[in-house]
Amino acid sequence: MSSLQVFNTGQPSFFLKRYYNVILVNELDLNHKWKLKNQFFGRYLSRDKYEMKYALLASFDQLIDLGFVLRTKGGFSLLATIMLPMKENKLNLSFAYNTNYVRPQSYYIPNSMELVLGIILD
Amino acid sequence: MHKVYYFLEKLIFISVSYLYLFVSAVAQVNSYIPDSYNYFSQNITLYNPSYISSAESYKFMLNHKFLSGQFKDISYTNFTAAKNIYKDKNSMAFRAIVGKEQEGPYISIPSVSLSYGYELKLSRNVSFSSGVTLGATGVYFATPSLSSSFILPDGVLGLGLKVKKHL
Repeated sequence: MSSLQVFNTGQPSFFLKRYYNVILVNELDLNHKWKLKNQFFGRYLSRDKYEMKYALLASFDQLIDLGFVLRTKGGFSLLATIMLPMKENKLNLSFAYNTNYVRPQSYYIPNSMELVLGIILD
Repeated sequence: MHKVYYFLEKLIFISVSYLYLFVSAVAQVNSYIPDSYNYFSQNITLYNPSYISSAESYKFMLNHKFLSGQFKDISYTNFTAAKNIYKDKNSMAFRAIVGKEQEGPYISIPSVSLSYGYELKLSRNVSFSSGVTLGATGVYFATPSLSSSFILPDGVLGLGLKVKKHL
C-alpha cells in the first residue's frame, strides 16, 4: 500500500509560521507476517527552515514495530512499538529515543524520549 | 495637567510592559505541537486530520515526550480520542485532542482541538481523504514577579491519497 499525505503543523494564529508537511509511505508485504514500511518526510517553513527525514519500519504480524528515523537536520530516532492483544482489543505501548547532532552554530537541542500508551477498540 | 501627564506616562508604561511580555513569550524557541517521531511514524492522526486508519473503531492514545539532561523540565503531553466510521464508499473520523507543552518552569502552552476527516473511495484500490482540525492554544507565561497569558485560535488542514497495491 502507498499513501501520500499533505498537511500543516506549527504555531497557532491560523497559518502564520506554519510548517507544511509531506509524507510518502510505501508499505511492502514481505510475507504474511513481516512488513517493511518506507517513509519519506518533508517539512518546510522557509528557505532556511526545512527538514527531511527517512524512516524504515519493520512490522511483525502487526504486533511489533521496530523503526529507525534519519533526519537531515542531524540526529536519528529509534522507535519500538508493541501491540498487546486483549480479547478483541489491543493495548499499544510505544517508545522512541531521539538523538540530536546539530551544527555548532545552531542552538543546542538535547536528546528526547517519547512514551505512548494507547487502547484500540475494534 | 499633571494628572493627564501622569495618566499618559502610566498608560505608556503599561503598554510597553505588555509589549515586552508578549515578545518575551512568543520569541521563545518552542514549536507548538513539537515533533513527536513516534506519532509521525505510527500515530499520524495527531498531526494529519485527513488520515483515517482502516481497522479500529475507537482509539485512545496518551503521549508524553520529555527531554533529557538539563532540559528535563521541557515536556509535551497529549491525549487523543478517535472514533472511526466505515462505510462502503466513504469513511469518517472524529477526534478530540488535548495537549500541554511545558517550556521549563515559566511557560506552559495548553491546547484543545476537534478534528474531522473524510475519506472517499475513488475506486477499489484508490481513496482520497481530507480533514480539518480546529481548536485553541493558550500561552501562559508566569514568573514569580510577572505573568501574562493569551489564547490563539489554531487550525490544521490535511489531504491524503491512498493506493492499495496487490502484488
